[in-house]
Amino acid sequence: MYTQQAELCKLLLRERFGPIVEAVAAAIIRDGRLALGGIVSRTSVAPLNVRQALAVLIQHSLVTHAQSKEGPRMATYYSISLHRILRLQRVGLYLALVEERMGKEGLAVFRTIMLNGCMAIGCVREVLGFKQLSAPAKQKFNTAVARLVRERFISAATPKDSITKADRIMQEEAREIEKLEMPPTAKELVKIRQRISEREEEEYQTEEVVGMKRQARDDGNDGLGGASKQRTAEAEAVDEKQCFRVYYGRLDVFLRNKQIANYFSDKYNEAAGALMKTLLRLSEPSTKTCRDKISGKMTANHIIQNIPQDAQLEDMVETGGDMFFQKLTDADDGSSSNAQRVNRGKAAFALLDILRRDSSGIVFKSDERGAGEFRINFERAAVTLRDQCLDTLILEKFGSLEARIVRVLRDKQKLDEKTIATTAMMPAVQCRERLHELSLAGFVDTVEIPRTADRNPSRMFYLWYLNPTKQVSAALRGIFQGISNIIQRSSKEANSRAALVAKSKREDVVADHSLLADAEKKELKTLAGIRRNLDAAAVRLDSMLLLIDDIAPCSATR
Amino acid sequence: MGDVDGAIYNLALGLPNGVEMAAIQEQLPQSPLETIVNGVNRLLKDGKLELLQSGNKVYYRGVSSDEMKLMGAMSEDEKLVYKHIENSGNEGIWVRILKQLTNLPQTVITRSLRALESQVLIKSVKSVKHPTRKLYMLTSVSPSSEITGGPWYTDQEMDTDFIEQLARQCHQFIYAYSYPRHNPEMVYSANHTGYPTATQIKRFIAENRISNVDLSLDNIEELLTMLVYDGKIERIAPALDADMGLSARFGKTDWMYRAQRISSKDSPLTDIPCGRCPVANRCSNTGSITPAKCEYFSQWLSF
Repeated sequence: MYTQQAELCKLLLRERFGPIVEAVAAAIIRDGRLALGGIVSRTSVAPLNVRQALAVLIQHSLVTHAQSKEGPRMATYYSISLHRILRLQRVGLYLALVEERMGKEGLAVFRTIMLNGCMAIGCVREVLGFKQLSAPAKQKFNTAVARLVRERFISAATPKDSITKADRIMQEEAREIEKLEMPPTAKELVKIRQRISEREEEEYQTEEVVGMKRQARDDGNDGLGGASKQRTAEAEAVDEKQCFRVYYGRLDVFLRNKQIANYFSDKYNEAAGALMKTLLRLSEPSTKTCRDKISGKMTANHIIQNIPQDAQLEDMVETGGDMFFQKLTDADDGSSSNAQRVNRGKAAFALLDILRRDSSGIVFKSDERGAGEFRINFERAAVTLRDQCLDTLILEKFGSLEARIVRVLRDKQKLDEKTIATTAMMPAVQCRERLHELSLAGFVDTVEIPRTADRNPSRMFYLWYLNPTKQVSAALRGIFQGISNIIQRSSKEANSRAALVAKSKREDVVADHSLLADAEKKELKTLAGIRRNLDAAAVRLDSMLLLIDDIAPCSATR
Repeated sequence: MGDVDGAIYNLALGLPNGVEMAAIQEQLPQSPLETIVNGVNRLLKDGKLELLQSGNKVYYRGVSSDEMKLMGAMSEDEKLVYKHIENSGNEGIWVRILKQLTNLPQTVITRSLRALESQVLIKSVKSVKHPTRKLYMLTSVSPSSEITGGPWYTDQEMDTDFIEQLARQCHQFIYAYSYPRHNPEMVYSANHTGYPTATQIKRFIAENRISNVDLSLDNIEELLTMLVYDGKIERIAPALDADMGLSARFGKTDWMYRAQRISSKDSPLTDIPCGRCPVANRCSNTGSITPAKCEYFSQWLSF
């Protein structure tokens, strides 16, 4: 945890939930796992208010709790997840994504659940007023909810979710140990822990969607149809009493996929981006969160059949005299529609080959059968996007020579100063200065290799290398600080015009804009412009946070 | 000079690495060994021959009349120093090494070097590898590329402008062949073999006289590697053709190079003033430097 991260979390909580919740959360952030008494003594907030604040935070899955036996009594400890708090900043992106994929009904449901943290579908229906609406509107609502659940935009909230993960594992371990007649040996303990982690993994991997139930649908079927027909007669419905919460981990997958498709669009062209988007879309059902390292298999034909019709593939790749593509052209029987189909197929195969042979190694062929089976390596994708993001940052912040040095080190691992200067083709003195500048900012690191056993500094090799964890930390500190500063500046800009904003929100002024003077209107316009700029900058910084940290499989397990 | 002396001298002068006694005897079969030895001794005394030793063998090298004239004006110490400098060839010799080899005191070496320099017989050069060391070599000898640093160095300093210009030309050449000319939005298929190689780029530089300096293939590859690290071009393994098999056999791959599309993406962090702020480390919620009072933010927002 970084100081800047803690500060940003506090600002986000203050912005969303107010100062009491912020004070309670700040105490847990600062001191870690705390019991109710500890929070009360640290915050000087009334116990009732602390309880209410904790309830809000638990409701929004930001705080988890766990019980621990302390002598004769059971103490409840509260822990906070900074990772989840930071996602509050990304809400706008999530909403835009849901609207794009689920339409307005889906967005309304999603927003209601998100605002309330955790909610039963029956309550959502009530809040949105769908009970009073006509049957088609109700049907639309049901379909939207079913899609949201099936595609895991929202997931069932279980009591287990609000228990701190570490405590939950410890409790499971204690239960397993209790089953044994004797205290466990070290080997047995390892086995128990392995069993628990396997169980966790199994639960994560399960295809079963909690909260869905099958419902018989009367659509005039005579019952004589086969099994498939019977299946169509059953509609999936969501359990009205089941509580759901927003599944941010799954939404990050869609945001990451957008970035991967953009990477290929920028590197090659729009057609390559469209093909990558198709591959990613096909991988979505089997990808739960960014924790998944490799996608499922996709055959070349399946990929090509699923490319959207509006994607322009023809005239986007030059196949020239390639023998393989010549064979495809030979299959053309001369009709214009067939020629178009063959051309499109030819372009799609050529683009697929380009993606597979890209130096990033994101798309790879897992099987040669037929036209081949393809998979996406999300771990490689995360590393590629992270490195690209860091390189751009170094290029912009320090300059092209520093960016070159960093790329040399990434490629060659550990190098001494002279070799770096030779490879990067720059004077040794300049190279040293730039390396020290990068080192001060935390983007490169040194390792000492002693030439003699006495470890005398004058007889030591100093090798420079990149430490990705340190690099990410350096960038993250800047991002957290940047977003915090934007929020503070935004609130300062609003506060300095608070009277004017209050006036503009008055009922009479809303009804009649002429009550505002020209200068006031201009000032409001300026404020709107400032807010727009600041919000856009915050969203961009957040997308950088996503690329640098959140999409890495190791980070997604938090 | 007698007949035997003349014959020995001519024989030694003809062989730059010197001649052995056995070879002289072979060339002069009618002369007795005593006459030959006396002749060699006379020539050595006159300074027309010099002794060279390689392992246990002794060679006699003829000293040309020009060289004799040159050496005639030198003292014994200067001669010794001059000889070692001459032997160092285009690599040059460092004073400390000279001291070790000659066993002369530092003052004598310094005096000899100064005298030789004043006669414009030797010159001092600086090595790019060891900029603080002064290396001595004959005036007529041009320093090796190890010392000068090759084509990338001018006056012992890396010529970054020259490198940048050449790199720009190379990048433009590669870019022109990386995407179809009739439609720059298009890309070539993965099996395309028309991307430029280092050899083609070398030819392009030579034919268009972009550089006055003679550049080797290794120099071009250094330049291309730099461009790869700049993220401007990408190295592509050659296709599996007959040529690839041949080059692979000799352990050298003739890489192809493709230009990357230039993306004008900015980093979100450097887009805001905080990314480049000189006092970012001192910025906090309270105190004199805060985001609310920040002048850089005010300028950025009014832009």
